[in-house]
Amino acid sequence: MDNPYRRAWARRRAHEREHAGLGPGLRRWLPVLGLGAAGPLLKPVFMAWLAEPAGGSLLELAADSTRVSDGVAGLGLRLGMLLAGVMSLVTYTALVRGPERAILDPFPAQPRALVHYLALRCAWERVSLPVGAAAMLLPVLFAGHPLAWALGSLVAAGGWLVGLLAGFTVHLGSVWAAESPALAGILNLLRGQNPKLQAALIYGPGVALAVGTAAVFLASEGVRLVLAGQPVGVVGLLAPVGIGLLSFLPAGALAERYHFRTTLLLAEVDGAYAQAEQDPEQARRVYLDWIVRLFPAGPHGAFHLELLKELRHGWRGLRSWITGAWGLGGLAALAGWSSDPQASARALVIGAACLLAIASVGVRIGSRDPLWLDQALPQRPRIRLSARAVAIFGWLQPIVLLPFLSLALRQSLSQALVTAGSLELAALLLAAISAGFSSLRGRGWAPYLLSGLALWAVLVGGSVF
Amino acid sequence: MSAITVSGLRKEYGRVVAVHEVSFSVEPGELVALIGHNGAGKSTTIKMLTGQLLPTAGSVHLAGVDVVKQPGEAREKLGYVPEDPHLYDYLSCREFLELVASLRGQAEIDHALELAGLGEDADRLIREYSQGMRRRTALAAAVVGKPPVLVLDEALNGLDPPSASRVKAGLRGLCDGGCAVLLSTHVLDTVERLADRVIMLAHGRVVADERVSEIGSEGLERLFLERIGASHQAGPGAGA
Repeated sequence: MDNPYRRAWARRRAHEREHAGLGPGLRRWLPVLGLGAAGPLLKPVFMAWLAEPAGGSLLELAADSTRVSDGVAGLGLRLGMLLAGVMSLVTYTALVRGPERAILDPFPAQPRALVHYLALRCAWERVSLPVGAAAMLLPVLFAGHPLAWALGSLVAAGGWLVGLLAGFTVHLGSVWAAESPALAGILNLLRGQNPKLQAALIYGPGVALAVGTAAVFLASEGVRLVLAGQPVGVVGLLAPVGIGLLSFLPAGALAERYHFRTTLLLAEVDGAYAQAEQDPEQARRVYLDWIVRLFPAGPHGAFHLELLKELRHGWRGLRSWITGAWGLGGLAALAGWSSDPQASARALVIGAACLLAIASVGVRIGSRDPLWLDQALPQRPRIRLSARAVAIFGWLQPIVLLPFLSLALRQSLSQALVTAGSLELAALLLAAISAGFSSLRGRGWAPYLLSGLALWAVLVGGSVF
Repeated sequence: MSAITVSGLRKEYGRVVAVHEVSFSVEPGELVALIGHNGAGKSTTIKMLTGQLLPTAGSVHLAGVDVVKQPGEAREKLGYVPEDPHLYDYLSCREFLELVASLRGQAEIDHALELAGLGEDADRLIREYSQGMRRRTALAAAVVGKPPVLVLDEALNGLDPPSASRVKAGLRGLCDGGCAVLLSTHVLDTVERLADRVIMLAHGRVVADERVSEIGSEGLERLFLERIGASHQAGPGAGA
């Protein structure tokens, strides 16, 4: 069936290629390069089982096979969860808070066609992620385990797929949940300082991640079985496809019902925040606003004002990313939740990658700063960028705190302190880099990613070797 | 059946009441101007009327369709130009209108291009357009498929005189064809030249609903100052 949204999207891509050249297309594949380059660095931590030489006896060969099977299943599980989390945020942005809602909202809609188009667009724009995961796993292939490499890559791709497909249903379901009288009590408990309606939207990506985790867990168990020679494992391997497709089935019907309702819900949420701004006391109440008091006010209170502005802009415009730091911090904590001696290195590698993702909010804020305002008003760039770096550093703290707690409980306090110290240093540097490059607006992305990846590589390399 | 029926429309933000029980209707073929001071509640009313904002109380029907209960059907009856229209930068105007035409189940876009005066520039990318051309593109998109109701939120701002003149003539032509137009504006001159009727809002209440022909050219400004000025002096409680 003809899909008008897809047709218009194809035209947009063609025009963009024509006018912007190959740059945007090539940038889309940067994660493959980054993850591929990360593979050898990650090998000592995540693929230590590859270093073990295969024994000669039958018993030793069996033990070797089990080690590879467990190793690739565990790594696939972690990568799959990471990709499921990323895709749940991507679908949230595309469906709920993305710029296309404002463009298309005045017109009649074909909600099913719209959801199909958005799913396809998200898949197209982020297809580099599962390919990058496969590139990251290349050391497994080069170590002579092609089947294990293929299966591990499949598990990671499964997480990506479930995050993508479940995301649409979950986010549209969040609109129902936001207005459901039955869930009002729970949402009021969870909402913190947010309006109740917003609470359902905030936790949507987490629900999609939970669905993705369940599917990826089944797939990783499937890897173990297949590598042990049990064909029934294929069922587990295909679980993400089945769960993803099943979870996507209701998306069309939900879109028919809740696509326009989402606009009304967002307006109510924004109205509630605007109302809060009317009250000078309430206006200050955003996530982490209390940290303002920890810093000197600066000339005429300029630093306090700038810091409060950054905290507000970030929280109100990029809330999913900022709250996402708690989810990703949980992921890094999970990586460290083990008595395995590699646990702290694993937490550090994952935690640093999560810091790199979340610290990008600085560049995102910079690319949204209205140019005319900078031109029209006197600027205090040093104060503003310093305040932005402080805000980013604050937002990154869950990714330091949660792994610290996890390692302190499962490893030792000294291990936890060393890892948290390294993560804190990375958070500080990434916050400074992101804030610094945010002054370049949209052009800040490439230098941020390159210098951030270099920092990550140095940190990981330094801790591992 | 009225093209637009607004009944007891109310919007509260906590303790702040932005719109108080506003009621009016617009008949097919009528061009009605909605005017008021800054913060009078025009944009809030228009957002509720176009399904962008949930009313606290009251209802809006477009050609008999409830905007809140049947949002998809309501948009089929509605052409809407927001104050700050968002467009796809990497589409040409013609391609954008073709997308809108597909969504409306139509194919014809020439009348829209003609009304907006974008014929010669229709194949240029929207990212190359000036602010006025972007606004005209949004207007053209709103009239694709000739919906029975057209709502324009400050849509004539930023248009150069020839474009404004063309658009005004186009709007009048749409009304002659039976379309109901609700135009939010600050410009009294536009109201005098174009509108059949004027609805004045002050502090979220309707303080006047008059036929322009009965007010006269000087009367509109006087009426505006009397009703809105008085309401301003009296504060938010005026006009109750």
